[in-house]
Amino acid sequence: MTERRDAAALAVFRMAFGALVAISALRFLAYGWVDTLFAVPFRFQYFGFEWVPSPGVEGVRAMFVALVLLGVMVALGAFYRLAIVALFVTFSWVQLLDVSNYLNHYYLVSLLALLMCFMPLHRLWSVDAWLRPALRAETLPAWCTWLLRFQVGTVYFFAALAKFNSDWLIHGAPLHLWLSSRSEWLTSPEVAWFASWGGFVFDLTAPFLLSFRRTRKFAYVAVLGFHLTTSLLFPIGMFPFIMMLSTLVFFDASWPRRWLRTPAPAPAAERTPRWVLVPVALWCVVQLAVPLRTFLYGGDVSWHEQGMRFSWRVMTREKNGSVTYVVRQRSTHREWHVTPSQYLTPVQERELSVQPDLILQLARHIGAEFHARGLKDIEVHADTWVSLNGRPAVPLVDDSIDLLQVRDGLAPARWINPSPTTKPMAPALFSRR
Amino acid sequence: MFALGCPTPRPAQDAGPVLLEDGGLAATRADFLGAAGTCSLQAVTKFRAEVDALNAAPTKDNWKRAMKAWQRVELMQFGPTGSSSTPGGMDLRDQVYSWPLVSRCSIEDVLVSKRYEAGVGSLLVNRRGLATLEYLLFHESDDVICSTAGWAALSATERTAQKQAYAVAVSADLKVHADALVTAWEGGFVETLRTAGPGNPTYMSTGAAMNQLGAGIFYLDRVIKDLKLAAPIGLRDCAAPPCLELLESQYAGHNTANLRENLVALRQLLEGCEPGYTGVGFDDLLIGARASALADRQHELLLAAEAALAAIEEPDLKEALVTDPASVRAFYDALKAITDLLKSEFVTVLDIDLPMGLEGDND
Repeated sequence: MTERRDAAALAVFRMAFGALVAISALRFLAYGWVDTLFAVPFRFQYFGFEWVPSPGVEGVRAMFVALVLLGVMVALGAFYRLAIVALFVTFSWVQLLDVSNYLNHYYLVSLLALLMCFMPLHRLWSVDAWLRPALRAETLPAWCTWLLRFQVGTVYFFAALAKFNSDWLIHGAPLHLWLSSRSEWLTSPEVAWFASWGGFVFDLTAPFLLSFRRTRKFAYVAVLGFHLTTSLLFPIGMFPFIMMLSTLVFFDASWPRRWLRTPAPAPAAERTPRWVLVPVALWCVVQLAVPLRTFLYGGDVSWHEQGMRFSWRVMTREKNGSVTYVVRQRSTHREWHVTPSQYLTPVQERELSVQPDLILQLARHIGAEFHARGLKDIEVHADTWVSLNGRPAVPLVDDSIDLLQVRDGLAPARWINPSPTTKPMAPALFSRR
Repeated sequence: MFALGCPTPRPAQDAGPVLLEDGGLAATRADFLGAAGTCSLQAVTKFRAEVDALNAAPTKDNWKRAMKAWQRVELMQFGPTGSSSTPGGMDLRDQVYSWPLVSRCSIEDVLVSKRYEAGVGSLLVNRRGLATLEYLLFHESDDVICSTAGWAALSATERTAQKQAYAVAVSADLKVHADALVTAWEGGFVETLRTAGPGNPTYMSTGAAMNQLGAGIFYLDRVIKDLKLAAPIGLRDCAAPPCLELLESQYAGHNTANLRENLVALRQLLEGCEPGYTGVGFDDLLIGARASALADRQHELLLAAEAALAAIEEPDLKEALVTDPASVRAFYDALKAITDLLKSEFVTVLDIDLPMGLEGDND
């Protein structure tokens, strides 16, 4: 960890990362997603990050334009230190604007960008090194490689852990629902079951098989096959490409030089101070603790969603629901039915319908709006019907609870109903069709 | 056909291709898409026939028949009947029936100024279509709320003649749209739907075509449940319930008839478009996906909604909301039970995206 290694692999990683951020931002601008996702009358805020201001939709558009430029600058290694810090701040700011936009791979990009802020990845094959030869270095501290490998490895490991449940492994339910609608030949339950186990075994073993020289090439072929397949089957955008390029950090530090037919640098005697390993270790502890917090809540996280975010639970459940807020005035017994669409964009509404904390946030907003209209003695209840992995729809939230009396927080939420005990929608294996 | 208040047991197997004896899937998505397209073609063809009659004689009875036919088309807003933001969509819905965008004042302005004489095709949608025609044919009182000076200057004969002339112009405009719809559907769109998948330039996957059919669910939820019922009941957008002014069909009192036709069309899509709700419907896909219990619950909820609507004794909700509001609320609750099921379990099992999402990243 304290020795130095060839900087070539990480220089390529820097280029790929910057290029992917630039392409992602361009996609947002080209497809009009800035308007779709950020021209919203109501924002779902992250617990603890309510202070993050919105620059407005034109401000967000400018941020995406900036991300294109910053991505290119990072890829080229031009004004790298400034560019990567600005990229991290801009990208994370955009992500923190609305919880309903959360995606695991955006979170991964934020984490990688933060790590890169502390890594001198511009010392080789960069504009900075070209302009300032004194900056140039053929080697980099090994902890940079190890930390990036750890970060990418946690995604796979926790994605496997998230699949370690009966819905996924015994019933193959989510994949059956997804695959059977895509092609007639994919309707067989056996296909879904084998694909479920394949995905689980792949996620669980990928970081380890990528770590050993003898298995690395085979593992990377599997990485390419897995992610290209998911890219073809599901609308998961940039995620497969981010993972295919991120996993290159598992290859040895000099792999690009073999392609370029240039010799690897001589081993450097210089060592990284040992104290550097303390923050590195702390980072690793945090990155293990955050996803593991999920298990402190008990129950089925796919149902109650507490600890769902930042835990690499990537495409692990199929969930849809219907939400109607029932507002009651105690003094007059008058009742209003408020549909989320009155406040939300279609995308937000879809996310809200299955995520209790979002349901709570909008309930409080509706309550505040009714108060502002002079209706003081009101209660806000949520009539929710949610189907998890094809189970019969049942209420997600206890409709007897006045959500205005509920405090948001990290503690287990008593106002969320227990997960359904019925089996998911999945046909028996090897049954006659 | 529609069996009001007389729920019949659901046939174990429809007439169309459904299940093989061993329980295998016989109704494919292609079968369903073709059936849904054929159903939509039948609905627009029927509408055109009624509009032809209306165009020949713009009478109250002909308006009612045309409106009934259109209310079935309302649930089938996909393909040429859909919005122009969807494949093949011609954006004709509001041109045929703009409700809830209805403005009595705007209609009266056109009526008094005789702007209809230059043709109504270029007028805003709330000055033509079935809703405007409803006012012209059913608002028999001689009063106006706008353009009062010009109206007062007309004799009774002139007023009647102008109303008739405006109605004729609107009927002719409706015929143009009805013809265009049928032409588009007959131009091969049923086949376009049936062959959705790789190689089909309109729907590159069956999923994309299936999602378009989710428009019916969207209409049921946002328009029928929320606008036609919740608002007048007083559950939303209403200061002091009931809000009778928010009801559909203010002049003809045709709102329960409209709802009845909406339910027929919903059941045709969900259970099959052939007589007795046989043929291939969404339920066959559910059975094929081994979710027959869900298909059964869907059927029970449809019957419950039909029964709840039949239990509203007054033909006009304007009366029902005053004399028996509980019956209207019961119908609303029955519809909400259907939309809750469709938006949760139904779309999950069939992997349908309602027309609310966007293509984009997801993980």
